[in-house]
Amino acid sequence: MSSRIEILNAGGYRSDGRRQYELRTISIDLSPQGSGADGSATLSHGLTQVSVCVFGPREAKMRSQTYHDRANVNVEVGIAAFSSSERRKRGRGDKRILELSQTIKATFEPVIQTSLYPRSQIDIYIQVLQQDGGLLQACINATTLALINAGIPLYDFVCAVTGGVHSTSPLLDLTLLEENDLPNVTVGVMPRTGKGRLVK
Amino acid sequence: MVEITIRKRPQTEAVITQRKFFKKTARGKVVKVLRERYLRDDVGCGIEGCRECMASNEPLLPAKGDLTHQLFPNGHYVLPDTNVFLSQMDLIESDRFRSPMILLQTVLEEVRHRSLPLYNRLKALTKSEDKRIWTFYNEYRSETAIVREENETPNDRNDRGIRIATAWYNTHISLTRPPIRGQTKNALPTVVLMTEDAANRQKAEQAGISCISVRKYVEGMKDAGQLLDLLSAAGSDNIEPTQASSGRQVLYPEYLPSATLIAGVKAGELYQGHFNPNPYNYLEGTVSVPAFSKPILLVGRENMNRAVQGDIVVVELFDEKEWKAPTDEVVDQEATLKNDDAEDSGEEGDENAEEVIAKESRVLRLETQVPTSERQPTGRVVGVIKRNWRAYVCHIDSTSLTSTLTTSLSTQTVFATPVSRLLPRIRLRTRQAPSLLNQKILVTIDRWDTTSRYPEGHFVRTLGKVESKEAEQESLLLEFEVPYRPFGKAILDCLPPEGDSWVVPPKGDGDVRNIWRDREDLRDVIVCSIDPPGCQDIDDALHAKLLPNGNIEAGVHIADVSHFVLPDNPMDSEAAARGTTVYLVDNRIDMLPSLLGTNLCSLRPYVERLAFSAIWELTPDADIVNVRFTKSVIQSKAAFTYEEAQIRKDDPHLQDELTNSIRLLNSLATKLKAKRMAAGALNLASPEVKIHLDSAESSDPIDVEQKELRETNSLVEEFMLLANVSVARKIDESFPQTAVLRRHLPPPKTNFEKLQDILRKTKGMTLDVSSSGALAASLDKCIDPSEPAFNTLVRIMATRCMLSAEYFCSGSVARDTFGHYGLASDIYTHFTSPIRRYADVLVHRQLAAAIGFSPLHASLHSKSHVERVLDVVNRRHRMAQMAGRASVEFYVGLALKGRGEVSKSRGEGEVREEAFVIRTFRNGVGVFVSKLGIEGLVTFKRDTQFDADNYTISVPGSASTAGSKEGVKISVFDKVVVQIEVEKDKNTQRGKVKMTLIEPVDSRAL
Repeated sequence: MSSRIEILNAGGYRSDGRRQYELRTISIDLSPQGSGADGSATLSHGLTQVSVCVFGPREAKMRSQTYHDRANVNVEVGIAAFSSSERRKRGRGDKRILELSQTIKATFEPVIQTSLYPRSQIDIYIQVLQQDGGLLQACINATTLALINAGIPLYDFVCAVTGGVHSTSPLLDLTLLEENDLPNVTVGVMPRTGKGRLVK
Repeated sequence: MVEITIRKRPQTEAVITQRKFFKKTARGKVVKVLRERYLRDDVGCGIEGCRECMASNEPLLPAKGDLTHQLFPNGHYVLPDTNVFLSQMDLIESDRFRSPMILLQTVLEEVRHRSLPLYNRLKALTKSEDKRIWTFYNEYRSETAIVREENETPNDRNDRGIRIATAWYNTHISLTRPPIRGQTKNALPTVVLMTEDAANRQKAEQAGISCISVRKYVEGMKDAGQLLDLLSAAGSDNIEPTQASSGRQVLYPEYLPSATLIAGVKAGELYQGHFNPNPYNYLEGTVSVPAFSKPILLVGRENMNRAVQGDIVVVELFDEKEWKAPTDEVVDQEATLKNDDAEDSGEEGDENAEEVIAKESRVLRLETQVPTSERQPTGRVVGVIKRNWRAYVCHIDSTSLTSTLTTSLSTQTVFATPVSRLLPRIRLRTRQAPSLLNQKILVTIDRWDTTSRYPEGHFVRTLGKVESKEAEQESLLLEFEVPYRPFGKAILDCLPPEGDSWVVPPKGDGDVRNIWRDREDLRDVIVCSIDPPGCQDIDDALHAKLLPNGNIEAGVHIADVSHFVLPDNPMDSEAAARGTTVYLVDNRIDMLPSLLGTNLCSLRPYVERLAFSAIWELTPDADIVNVRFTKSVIQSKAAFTYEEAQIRKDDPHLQDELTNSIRLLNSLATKLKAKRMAAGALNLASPEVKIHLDSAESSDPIDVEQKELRETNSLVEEFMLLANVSVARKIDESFPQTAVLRRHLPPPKTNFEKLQDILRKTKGMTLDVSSSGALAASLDKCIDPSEPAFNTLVRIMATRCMLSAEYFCSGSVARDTFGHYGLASDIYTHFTSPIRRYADVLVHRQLAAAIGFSPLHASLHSKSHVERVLDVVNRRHRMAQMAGRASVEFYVGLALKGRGEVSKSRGEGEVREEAFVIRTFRNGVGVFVSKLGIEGLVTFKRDTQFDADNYTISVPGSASTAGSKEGVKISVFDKVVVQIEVEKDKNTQRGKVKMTLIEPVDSRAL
């Protein structure tokens, strides 16, 4: 039946009652989460929810993975089996998860002032709790918040949002339903310098 | 910069903002789906001058509402519920229904779920200028959004939502227009809930919402009289629509196991045959079986039980009491099923399905009272022995699309409508539906389950844009299964290595390959060929000369294809598979590689060519004294067109040898024809037209005209017949078991019954069908002095009553059924066109063996092999004929379109032509336009009086001919004038010739 839902109806409303450029409700929780993370953030865009813990900068567990002039940024993403409508376990080696963590790593590596912490490691652990479209944007935003929360020096912070095109009308912050139907792109920008950081 | 306004509720009201439901996936898993919904306060009410709601660009509803309705003097707006749109769409669409209407989102979405076509109609209405419809997104407005309660059906939830929205509207109106002090209290317009559901009305009344049934509402309107007619009857009693049916509904009976089928057929209880649907009525089909003279009729979807054209099915017969006669009505699948939905049919017990079934049963009920004489065996399909599914050329039905945006990536279930009217619509799942619109595509059927009303298929590839010549041509070839791929290397390797430069070697020592062995040297004989203009594959040539004894020697020389095409090589098998050359208007699909067809075998003038000759000695009265057959070498002296030959013959100044031999041939041909006619040969007619092409490159048709027949046509024909008959006798004599012959079975008398009856009743003429001679004689008498074309028309209709001729193997049928009915010959074969017919190649081989020229290849001694080959050839032959006709039809359509445009630009109006009525239906007439050689169908929407016994139909006079209350009677054979247009079918994009009657009645208004 999903195909029976109009992405953008004649009245200019999307399937969840938003208009074209409206974002879903964002809620942010920065309270520390157990296990002594240095910074953490739980962020939800509508029904997409991710929780990020940042550890570090700390001593690298494996010496081989250190750099003499900067800190190593390590991103690990876990997607909870219950996060999507169909229960599905994804292993660590899942290509899609690897790609996601690679993207996030590539986004943040140049933003974090890594040269301040040579031979150390910054771990970013992302846990996806609920998925309803805009996963990458939620991960990036939550990571930014968690990094700030951890007090890690950044050149700028990265904000991301997904955009799609329905015929000729652009839409922002797509839900899963919209993401499945529309060509879409996630854009990360750095508001202070006004530079784009990521287009995916 | 876009202005972004965000007005959302705080998260505390999460219950309202989240929708939760469970969904069953295709694999049977149950999945919980959670969706958000953002409620807002800026959803406008759409009433003009409302001070709360923001002005919008879209047309608003008038502030006072509608003041014309009797029951609501203070003005009102109508707020219909879903069922009103589902059942009374015609009413809402009427021009007279002009009340300002509030369309709720809940209603709109429900309509969309139920029936996409209806939704599209509704969508179009909301956009049209003369309707005042405001769409209110009640699900997004905070006050009117509701959540489904526990134990509440979705239907009840929607009804409640509609009631709440109505109540909200009424309070909204009163709130936004508070009484102004000092003025008398303004009468406020009301929002009226229009619903057919009595329970819903009751609940609404309890809540103090004014509501009304459709009938009552319409009764109070200005144009009540006309509008009441539009109310559909089903609306009053059939209310509660969504029955949550358990699982899929079984629509068709299961097939019997194949062992039972085979046993039943062997025992004679069941009958096996090809399924043949009725092109005029998609709910009817026939299966011809040898056990009955009339084919077995299958009426209704269930009895046809998922059979598709060409399937070999097994039929169970009903009791004789239940036998029926075929309908006289035209039932168009597209018209009847236009509201049917691709996605949900069979998926849910939708009321749409019931509607379809009701409609169909209504159609079927009509034909119960018929005299028993017209009844024919009726039965139902109980099994399918062999599916004959292939790839079908289709169009995507645009109304079945959920989204026409090319950016949409989601999978959609859509209908593909086959080009052929004989096929059902095919359900298809595709991601690229929007981009396939307006394309001809190839679709194959995968399966047809008992629970699915339509077969399911998948997309194969696109052929190209609709109406582009390439796409249409390829689609024609595919539709008629013409193998059209280029010849492969293995085949081309069988050609003589010399290629173009191959020549007949000089006689004597230079003849290394021994080509001259046993060949007669006829190079000096004055041979010429007569063919249609532009003919490249000349396979026959003629000569005639006076013998000293006063007799005449006449010779027919046929291209010696069997010299080049040797048995059992790749070229031979390919030719056998192709069976025949297919001639389309602007193209030719060859049976043999063109090097042979148009060069080495073609008996072109002035070059030496190998031939197979039949040479007779005839008396001046055209009696055969003797005949001999020989392989030969000839050199044609001239290649004439029919016209050139005719002019040459008629020019008395020309006394050269060539002209004289044509005259000699002609005199013999006239005598031969007279003899043939005396023996009872039929002079049949078929509508043949010729397409004038603009130029070879653009191949735009510019005009259509009927083919002219000249004396020389008949000359060539007579000698070909003579050759065929002589050869047939010879090979039958030599190979009584395996000779390749052609026969035309006499048609069963019953085939003519209808035509005889029509002729007797309308013209008082009789048709004697006792023998072909009698038929020929009585056909000659069918002359209407005032109407010269009448005789041709009767001939055409008589031809259609006959069976088609077929090739057969002499050993496999009884000797007394060898005869050729149409030619009144006791034996016949095809010998004269080996370049374009494979049967002729076989005949050549047999004849060569019969005269001791070469031994017969082993395969031609085997009866089963010959039978198998001829089966293929027969089928290919039929298909080629149909493809050729369809190609002509397509070009006639193009030409008509061109002509229509020209005459329109000149301001002459549309193309009008005279036509004859050839068939009458309950709701229309079939007409034949002889000038264009096309048949068309004129249907009447308004009531007509149909008299099946007398084949007449009375059409009420249109407004212009008022006064004649009786209406005008139209009967079969009446001459009428039709207007011909080519219009694109809205759904399928199929160019279709549309005819409307102009005289005696103008049916445009009907």
